[in-house]
Amino acid sequence: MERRSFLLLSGVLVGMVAIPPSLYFVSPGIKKYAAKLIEKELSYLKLDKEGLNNYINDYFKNGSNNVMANVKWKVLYYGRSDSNSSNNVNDLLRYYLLSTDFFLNQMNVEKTVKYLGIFDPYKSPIANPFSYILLPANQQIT
Amino acid sequence: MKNDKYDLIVVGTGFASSFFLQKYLAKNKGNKKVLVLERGYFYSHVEKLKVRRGESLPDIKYEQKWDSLVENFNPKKDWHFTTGYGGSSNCWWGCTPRFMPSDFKMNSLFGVAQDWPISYDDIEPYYDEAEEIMQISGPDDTPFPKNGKYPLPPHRFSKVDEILNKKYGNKYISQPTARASRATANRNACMASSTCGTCPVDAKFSIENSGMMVYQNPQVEIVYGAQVYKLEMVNDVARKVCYMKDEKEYTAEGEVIALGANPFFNTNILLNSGDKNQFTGKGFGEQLGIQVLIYLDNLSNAGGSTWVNANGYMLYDGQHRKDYAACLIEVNNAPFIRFEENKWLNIASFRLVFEDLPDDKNYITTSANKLKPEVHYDGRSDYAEKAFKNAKIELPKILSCLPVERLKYLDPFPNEGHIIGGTRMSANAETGVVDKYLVHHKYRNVFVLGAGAFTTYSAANPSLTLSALSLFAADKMF
Repeated sequence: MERRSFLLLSGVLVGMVAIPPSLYFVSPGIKKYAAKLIEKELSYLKLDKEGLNNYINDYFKNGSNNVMANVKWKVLYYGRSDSNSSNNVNDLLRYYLLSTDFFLNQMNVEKTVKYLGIFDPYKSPIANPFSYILLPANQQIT
Repeated sequence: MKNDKYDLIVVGTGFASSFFLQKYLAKNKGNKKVLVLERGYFYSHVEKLKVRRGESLPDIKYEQKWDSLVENFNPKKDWHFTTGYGGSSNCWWGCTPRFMPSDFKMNSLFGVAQDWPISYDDIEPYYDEAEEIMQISGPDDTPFPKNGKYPLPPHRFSKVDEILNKKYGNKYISQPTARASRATANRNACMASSTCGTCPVDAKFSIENSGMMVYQNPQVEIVYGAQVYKLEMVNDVARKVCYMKDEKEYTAEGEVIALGANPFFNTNILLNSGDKNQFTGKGFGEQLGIQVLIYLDNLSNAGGSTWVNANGYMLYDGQHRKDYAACLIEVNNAPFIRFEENKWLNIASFRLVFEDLPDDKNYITTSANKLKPEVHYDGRSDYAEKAFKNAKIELPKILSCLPVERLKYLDPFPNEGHIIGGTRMSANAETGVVDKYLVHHKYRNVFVLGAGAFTTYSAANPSLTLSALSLFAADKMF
């Protein structure tokens, strides 16, 4: 059974962590624009380039060859879409940060952000940055 | 089957059946023969976890898709459920707020729908009992009357929760939940992974980890793969249960029958049995759920300890229910995050859950395939839609104690994971299908358990209430 079918079966999808299906194509073009979108929006962070590329590869793994998807990601980038205006971009960024050590490192912007493996609540030791296990309620970020 | 005849035949192994059996067996120790017919199979939590981690195991065949089991005539509306040992305890997310006393009196208080033939006070002791069995985590101060304490302490508040609790008191509480706030004898503590259907750490109550042991009781015989489709009636008394297993026909004879499948299958069984009650299958539905993201300035929402960290009752009760629905707020801890520098966790997520009213245009009926009910859902009522419009007006005022930058409403969810109504409870056969003890008005040896018996829906999640009703019915009738 496919991963998304699984998650759909397992209950109500509420901001839950299911990789969006069927949008993606593993061409260098798509990956390039997806990576650019992440780098643009998280330009204030030091991103491990190799890790970012690995994330992109994993994120788009199992996608089908879809010309429209290729066009879509290019348009998203040149159309100045960001995480607020595009759910696709929001998902891409969300899964990226959740897949790194960024929250484990208490959101320390001085540290290089490293990719740990595609985010998966069944594999990640601490799956949710909102949990008190990572950050207590009285600790403010700003 | 080991016996020619049983004292009790139970259909299904979910909440409704398990809690009914729990009470029945406690009151009939050692002297009854019970047959349980489960359409699915035993598929353990351990095996599910392996599959979710990427292993391909034979038991995956037990994860049947809900829409392969019914004929759904509205492709825009989902009705998620699971079959197999434990039923929907395998896919629920563990939210266990009680109903409010007013939920049982919708007609006398607000002039809409019908009153239940029971009151909140009738089932209050059974709420306590169900909460003890489920080892619910919850606060001392609740908006609904509660005699005892919850077995486990409440989950931790985030800073946002603390502020709202300070302002609204017991109208904003740590959510009562079957996601354990600390480890129990059979479960781990919740890790707030926000993936509760199959909990990665087995913190959520399920029939499998419940410790209830009803299906291990030597009085109980369980048959898996038994798809019940009809009761054989003689002079309005159910004599036999008819089911298919491995494509063969079987019957089982019983004194008392308890239908504990979900409302789709309970209805299908009754209609196939010749039930002519005008309400059988009618008025089923569920709540309307809409997510709103709350962007906060200079305030992190970190620090919660479970998926739905709190419940808000600020839009629930009141005279507005004459005109529009109650709204229960689920304060969600799912990892919605922001990407502006230093604002990653400055976001809260509310799910606004609106009650709806039974409407006969939404109905369940039989199909040419005796095992497969038809599901016809036309849509939600204006009563629920109007409440959402009101919530959009009220929410900014409710949140005025927080540094809100903006609100973003997401599209309504295609389902809340609840199936309610279809065999509604009533004072008589002219206004419903079952009586206050969940016994069919016409077939007096047939219990019809579960959320199908709810007279009205409430905005609260149904599993705790339907479990309490099963305890109540078995306690009063045996």
